[in-house]
Amino acid sequence: MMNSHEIFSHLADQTVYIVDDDPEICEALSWLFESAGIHFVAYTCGNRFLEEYRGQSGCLILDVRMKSMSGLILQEKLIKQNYRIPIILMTGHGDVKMAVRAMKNGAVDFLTKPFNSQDLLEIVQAVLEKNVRKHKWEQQRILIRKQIEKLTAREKDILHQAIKGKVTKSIADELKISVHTVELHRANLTKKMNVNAVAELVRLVILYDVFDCNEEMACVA
Amino acid sequence: MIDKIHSQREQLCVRKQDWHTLVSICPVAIFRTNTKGDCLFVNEQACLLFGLHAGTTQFKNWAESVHPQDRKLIVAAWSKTVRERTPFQEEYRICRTDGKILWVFGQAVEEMITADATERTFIGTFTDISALRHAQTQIQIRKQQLERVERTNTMGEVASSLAHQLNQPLTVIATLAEVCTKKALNIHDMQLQTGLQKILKQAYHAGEIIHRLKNLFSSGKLQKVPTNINDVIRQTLTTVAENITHVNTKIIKNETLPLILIDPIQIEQVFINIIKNAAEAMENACVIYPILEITTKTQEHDIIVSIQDNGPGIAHDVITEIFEPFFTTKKQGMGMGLAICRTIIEAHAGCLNCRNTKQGGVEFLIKLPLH
Repeated sequence: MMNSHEIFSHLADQTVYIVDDDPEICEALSWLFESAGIHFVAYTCGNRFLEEYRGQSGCLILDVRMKSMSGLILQEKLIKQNYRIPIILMTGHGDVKMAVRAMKNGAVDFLTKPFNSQDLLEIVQAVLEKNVRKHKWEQQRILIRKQIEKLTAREKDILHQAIKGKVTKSIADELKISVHTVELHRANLTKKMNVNAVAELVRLVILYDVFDCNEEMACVA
Repeated sequence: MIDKIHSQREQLCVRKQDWHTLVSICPVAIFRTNTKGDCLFVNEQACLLFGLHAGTTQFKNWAESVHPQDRKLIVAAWSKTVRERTPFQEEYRICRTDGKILWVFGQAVEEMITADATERTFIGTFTDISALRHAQTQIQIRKQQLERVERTNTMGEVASSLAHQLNQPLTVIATLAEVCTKKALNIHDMQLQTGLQKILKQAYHAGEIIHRLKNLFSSGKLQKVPTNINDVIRQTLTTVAENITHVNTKIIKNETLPLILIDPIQIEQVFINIIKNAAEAMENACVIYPILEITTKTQEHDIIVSIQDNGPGIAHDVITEIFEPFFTTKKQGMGMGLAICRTIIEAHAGCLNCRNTKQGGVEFLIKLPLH
């Protein structure tokens, strides 16, 4: 099918960021990720991380109680800057309230020190895989969108009608054109979009939510 | 001669009248007793105090009305007064005829022995100190309650910071042991593997013990009730009154503060800690005119309490560390006070900050969310 130029779509392109003001913890976690073959960068200072991070894909392993800046505040600063990097929090306290606040702000997990490093690896692995899937999905979405943009206005009309579940006859009635013309446009559509049938195109449009129309779709349904 | 006797008798009569007026009108319970405690005379006030009708003759022996639990003590004290001719001064409980129990302050002194005296007599007074006693008991209960809260908080804070400080190295041990186990697997060294697994297991075990210890001491759940923060400040100032006698307190209250859901005893702990620190700092620095300024106000969605002193301020290099556990500048301090304050305020979803003011003192800002 479609060939896509994929960015961040391999695990190797993902980075694990470690932020803990205890250099010993940073080093131990570095050993862990090194042995698992996962790319990582460790910071002993939250501010330094904020200065250097530019939205790269991966995940952040963050200590909650740090002297210069609490992990929760760092999390809130990232949100303010619109960075949506998945965060795994570490705490020596296991404070329920803190955990609730962090999870509400979108943290993916909360580990109490000392934690099982195998657990941490599994969580990180799952997060990174999800990132890759999400990136692939987004790339695909952009690609389909670009191709749809190249369609003629009439072809787009017919695609929209097809998305609403209409058959050739009712599309022809709706657009006040002949059935034959609709069939012609449908043939062009499949050719241009490199699919076997309009039904397959409709499936892709819905799967990749190409028109941001989850709501609209729900209404039609 | 007869005239003289007559006039003397008249004078005596007047004097007796004077005396009578004095003891019956005087707002003090007065009695006269002998060594055995028999009441030779009681005034109206004394009758009323003991729940009897004025002028009654029922009041026979004051020692009999002493509360059974205090009787032994009072009998001993009275014996001493009789034996050593020292004044009697005791606080004790009496049982009134209507069953009510009163706290009284009883005093008695021996009368001068006159020529015609047949026995030793004493004049004394009773003062009702029930209200005073009640207030004292309340203060005592409150102090004990505060002390208990302070103790629990200190234990909790110590356990909590200990947990934090021990969990860091344990995490390092556990993580490295795990990584090394995998490496040992590659070189097929069974003994190395087993050893590393044991290290890992023990690290988790130690972590478990620390968590349990921490949970044991940090059970202090907040008892939140709708509270006016101004009331907490007023209460605090009575509690710390004896610590701040040398300080001029200035309170700028916002009278229309809404009630907020807080644990008043815990918040009082925070105020006590900060105020005592400020008073001590100003005293140690020999500030000539020490001022403690407490301000309450609302700001957006928070209530702000500012506690400001005109002491020497906090050294610039340690101001970020003052909330850390075990940080102290006092010779006798454990360094838990402000760490506890921060924990309490954070448990209320608020924040506690401190800064040196332009005037050279320190300002503590306590921010508590309205909702």
